[in-house]
Amino acid sequence: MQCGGFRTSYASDERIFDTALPIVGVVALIGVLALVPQFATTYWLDVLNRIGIAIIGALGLNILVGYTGQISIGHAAFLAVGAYATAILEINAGLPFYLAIPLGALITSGFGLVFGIPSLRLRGLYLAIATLAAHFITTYGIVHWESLTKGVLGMMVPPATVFGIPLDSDARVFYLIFALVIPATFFAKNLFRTRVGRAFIAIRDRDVAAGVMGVSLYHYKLLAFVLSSFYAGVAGGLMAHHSRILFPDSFTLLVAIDYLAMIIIGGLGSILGAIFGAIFMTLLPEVLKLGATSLTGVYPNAFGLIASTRDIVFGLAVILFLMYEPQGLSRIWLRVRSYWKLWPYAY
Amino acid sequence: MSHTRDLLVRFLLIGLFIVGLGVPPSAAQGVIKIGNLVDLTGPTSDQGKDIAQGRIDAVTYFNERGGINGKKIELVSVEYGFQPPRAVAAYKRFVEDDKVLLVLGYGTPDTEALRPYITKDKIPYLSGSYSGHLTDPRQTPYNFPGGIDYTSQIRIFLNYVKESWTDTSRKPRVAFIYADNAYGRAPIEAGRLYAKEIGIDLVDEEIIPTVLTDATSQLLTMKKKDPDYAYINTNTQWVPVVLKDSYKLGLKTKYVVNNYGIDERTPKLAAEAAEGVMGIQDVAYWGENVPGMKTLMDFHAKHHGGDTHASPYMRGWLWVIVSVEAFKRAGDNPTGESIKKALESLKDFDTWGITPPFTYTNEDHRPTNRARLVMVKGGKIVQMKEVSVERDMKWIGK
Repeated sequence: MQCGGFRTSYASDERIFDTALPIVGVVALIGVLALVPQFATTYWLDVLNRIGIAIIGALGLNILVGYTGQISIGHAAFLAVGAYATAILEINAGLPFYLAIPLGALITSGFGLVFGIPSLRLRGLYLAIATLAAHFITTYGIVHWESLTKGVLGMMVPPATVFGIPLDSDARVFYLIFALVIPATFFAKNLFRTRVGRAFIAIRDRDVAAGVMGVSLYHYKLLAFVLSSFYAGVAGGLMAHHSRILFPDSFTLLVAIDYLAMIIIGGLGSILGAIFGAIFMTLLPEVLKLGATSLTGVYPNAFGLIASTRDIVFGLAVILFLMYEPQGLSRIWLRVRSYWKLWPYAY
Repeated sequence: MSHTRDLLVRFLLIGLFIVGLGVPPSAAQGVIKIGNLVDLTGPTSDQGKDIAQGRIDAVTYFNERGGINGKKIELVSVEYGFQPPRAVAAYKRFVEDDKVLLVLGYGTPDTEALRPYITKDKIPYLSGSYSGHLTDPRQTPYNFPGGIDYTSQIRIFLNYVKESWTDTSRKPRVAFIYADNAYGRAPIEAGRLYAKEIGIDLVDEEIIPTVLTDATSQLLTMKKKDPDYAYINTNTQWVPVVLKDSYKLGLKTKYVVNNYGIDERTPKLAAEAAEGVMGIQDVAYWGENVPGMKTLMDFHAKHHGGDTHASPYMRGWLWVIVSVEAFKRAGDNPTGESIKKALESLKDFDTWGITPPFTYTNEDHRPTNRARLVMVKGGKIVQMKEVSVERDMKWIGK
């Protein structure tokens, strides 16, 4: 009897699902998600929507940072460009959302291309600082280009409409968001089964070696930025449709740090990691808040105290993950899964 | 062993998630739900902490006395970090999940952004934002600013400059210094128009970041224009930055600060730079001798006597007092519309002396046209005089 993986062809080595069970699981998950708006409250739908948006954004950042090894703290700027571009295309050019979101994402890709150019010469911390510049230039532009972005006063976005139905509630936007989360995940997963994905990984592992082997650094580093910011652009466009108000303050540097924390906690260079990280980082403050609210009956000041513990808990989580599980939640998941596979006869 | 731990963690997380999803909106009878939106972690947390405490205390106070018409009040509290999108999410939760009948709102950026939702949902929204843009019932029928509007305040400032100006050889010069957000900008357009109307030269406007660490460059620009008076429109924790930098640079300009920018803490925060700075104040200070203060202080001493609070704490109480009165007047089965009507029936309503009496009508949602002019003298904040401004319909909604 075979025990463990015996791959005899490249095709079997690259297979996403080894058995039928996970496929059933994924289909069931999608089925459950389709039913969620029927019974979830607005509050939890809002949280789920933010998770969906964060998943797309984190997938994009993981392509760039986790898989290609190009550190970027400009992700909030790319989200902002995507959000504002989508909103402006809809309001000023009157485009429907199904054109505005992809076009907004393409514009964001253009931005990513421009701000990816420093990556050809810079590496590591130096590149991080260069992407930081992208962040400040973008936020400055949004705050001061008032005729287009309304600056600090904020921009209202009309709801998207599908066959005359306005997507004006969380339940309706939920379908739009998850209709994009699913293809975004499959595209990212498949990307790393292709020549392009392998080139990204080669660059991450050692860019000089990759260059020697014939990987065009110029081409693939920029492509990583373009793809990553396309994802950010889609996430931004969805943010515009979810909160329907855009403020420059929603895209602070902290947002970029949050996204980095997501992929670190979830697992660098892992699709599942981006998803887990997005879920974890979005849920954690909500769980803290719920704890605080339920404690107010016993201890009235809990509400005020716990609100400010968010950052401490985040900081601790990042440190603990880096120390004890550098491969993040996705690694924990794999361990748990393999435990179940062998249960009850673990070695 | 570690596998078991992993399993536990995994089940805990999934379990929490499912439990959370399935929690139905509680529809307890005999409870009046009020939404409570505050900023405890953002740039206006200097106000938010005391406002939240004041609201929670006041609700506890009224519940201890039997609630409203026999029903207990329940505050649904959300902290939003002064982020308007998070305020929108909180608002949706208040209305759709918790079915609140009234929201105690917070800042100007979020309250102004929520205007269309509030009007559509018919939810009375008593806000900590006193933006003039919320005062016109024809445009925003369900918005009720919880104090003298910013536009009236800037008019009071300009009137004061005009009255105290004695030099006949030239007109007085003023400058506006305001935070770069919807709150800071709210009264500026009206201020420009009113300055022109009453013959005051507005020589400079300086925009400062919401979170302020240094105002030197703005003040150096302002110094060249040499204004006699400057009006500061930002928060208590950022105003001292302006005052200290101004003191350091030796500016002779006299400062007047709006109601959220100056309170009991200012003399401590800005030390000698605060001397002579004036402010427009809407509420009574901590421990001041007004009718309701004893009740408030007694309650405070009984529940958490060890700490002290500044004027935002009184605002927390004030808005609950006003809401409770509205609910009392709205009868046994209050709805958004009946609460709005009840609020609009408040005429010279005595807010325990915390503010001048409140009057909302169906034509004018400015609660009062009176405030106090205060000044920092000898390290203490003292009252100079009562001030008021005409309830001119021309400025409504501006």
